[in-house]
Amino acid sequence: MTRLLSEGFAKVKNSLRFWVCTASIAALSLMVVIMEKFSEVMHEEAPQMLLTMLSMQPLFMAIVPAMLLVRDFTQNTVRNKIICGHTRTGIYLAHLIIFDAVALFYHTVSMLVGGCAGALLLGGGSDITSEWSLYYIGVSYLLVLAYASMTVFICMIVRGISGVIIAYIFNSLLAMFGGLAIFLVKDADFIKLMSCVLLDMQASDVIDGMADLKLPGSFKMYGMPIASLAYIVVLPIIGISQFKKADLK
Amino acid sequence: MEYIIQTEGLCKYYKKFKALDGVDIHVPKGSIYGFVGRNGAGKTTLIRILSGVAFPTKGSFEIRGVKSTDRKIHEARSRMGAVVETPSIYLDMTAEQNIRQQCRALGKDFSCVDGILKLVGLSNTGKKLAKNFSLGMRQRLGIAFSLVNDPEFLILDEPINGLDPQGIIEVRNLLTSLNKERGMTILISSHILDELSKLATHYGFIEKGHILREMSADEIEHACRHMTRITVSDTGILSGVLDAMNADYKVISGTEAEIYSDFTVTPLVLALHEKGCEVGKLSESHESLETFFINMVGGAGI
Repeated sequence: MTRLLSEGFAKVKNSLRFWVCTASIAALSLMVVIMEKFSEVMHEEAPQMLLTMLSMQPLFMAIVPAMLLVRDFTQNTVRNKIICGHTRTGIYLAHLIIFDAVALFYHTVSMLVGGCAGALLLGGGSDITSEWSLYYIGVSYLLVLAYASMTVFICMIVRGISGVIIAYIFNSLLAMFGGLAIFLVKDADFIKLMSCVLLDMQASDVIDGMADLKLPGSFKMYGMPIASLAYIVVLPIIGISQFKKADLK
Repeated sequence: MEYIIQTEGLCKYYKKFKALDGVDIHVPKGSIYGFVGRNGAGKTTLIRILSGVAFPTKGSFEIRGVKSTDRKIHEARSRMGAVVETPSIYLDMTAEQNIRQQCRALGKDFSCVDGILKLVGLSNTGKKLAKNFSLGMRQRLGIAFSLVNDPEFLILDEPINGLDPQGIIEVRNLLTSLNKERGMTILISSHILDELSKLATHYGFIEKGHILREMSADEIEHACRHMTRITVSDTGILSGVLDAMNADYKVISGTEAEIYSDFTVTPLVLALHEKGCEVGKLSESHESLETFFINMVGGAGI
């Protein structure tokens, strides 16, 4: 699988889209800090600037790593890997690892730029290392990996550009139906559960939690990382078992 | 005889459609195996299964003696190259970058890149991206991809489709040299039977998911009938004369017939002349692979 990783990372490194997207993320993160600096009601500080791009991560994932992944199927280059003896499990895992690496890289870039620029321009840099801040940073990384796991799963099942589109809108659709379910059920525990299990809702909670400068209640505190971990572990297992049985073009 | 590929009762069903139904083929080591069949006969399906891209519904196959159900099948495939349908290449990369990517996927260094590009005639493409390549260039790049792991055997699905005459000759020469000089076994499917007949040492004929027959080129040579085409003023008279000579023949039209058995020209011409039938033309010909195949499957349409 190291060979597949080497091949995949070389593709990422040579992709103009990857570097353009990296620059865009850095520029957007910086822009948010600058806008906050010059906003008339200035109340946010460095920790809040760390996760400004979190809700946009699925979009960046769709533009770069997901497109690179599905291109392996649309250009049928995945055949070359199978023909020369790579296992389907290896191919799936290599795609997942490369996807995870790109997603984590983007998240880190946005956090570094937002955090550093925020500390310089808005202050509150010392709060970044506070307990609640570190908790939300950790949860945000797990959340990014969960998003990545979900996107890879859908792209490996659909194996086309439509997979990228479906993966991008899927979480929003889930959140929409989740919101409807919450409205209908109107139960406090169910709401907590949904906000842990549905990734878009969890992302909102993480961003809000960072703004509130405090740790969430114990259910959410453990529920959010556990839910993300479930996505990270379970989806690849199902995805690999499906991919191993699939006839490719 | 040692076989590189063997299949046993290989079946592939798509719901009720039987793309392959109990296919048995045997590809001898060192051969160029021509895989012949109409559109939809099951050629590509079989190639896709052998390549690991698709799975059989029933039956099994062996590659280099390793069964398809064996875990070591991936290792057996590591010395195999294949171009299935369209060449699988990175369109946004140059020829060199493409081969380098395949080297990375195989864990090989880049020392082979120049040699492979030269071998397939793509060494002078420079920074031109594969998406701007002609169909022939893409085909050759696809073959180059499959040569990176220095394969023992190569599977090529319609490799000369869309190539110009010069490209066809180049691919033919390339395949011949790979077979003769490197001892590479090649399984090649093609619609262009005339071209295939210049390459193949063995044949497998497939029709509606069934293998009709497997033959060596020598057996085909014997099986393809020699015939004499004769043009006369009246084939009715010709039939009478040929019947009297116990000849094997077929009347094509009112003035043309094909004679399959050996005969001496002078007595035939004299006999026809006596009965007032004029002989216009006599020409000897040999049944082509194409005719042989069409006769075998019972109709045109490949």
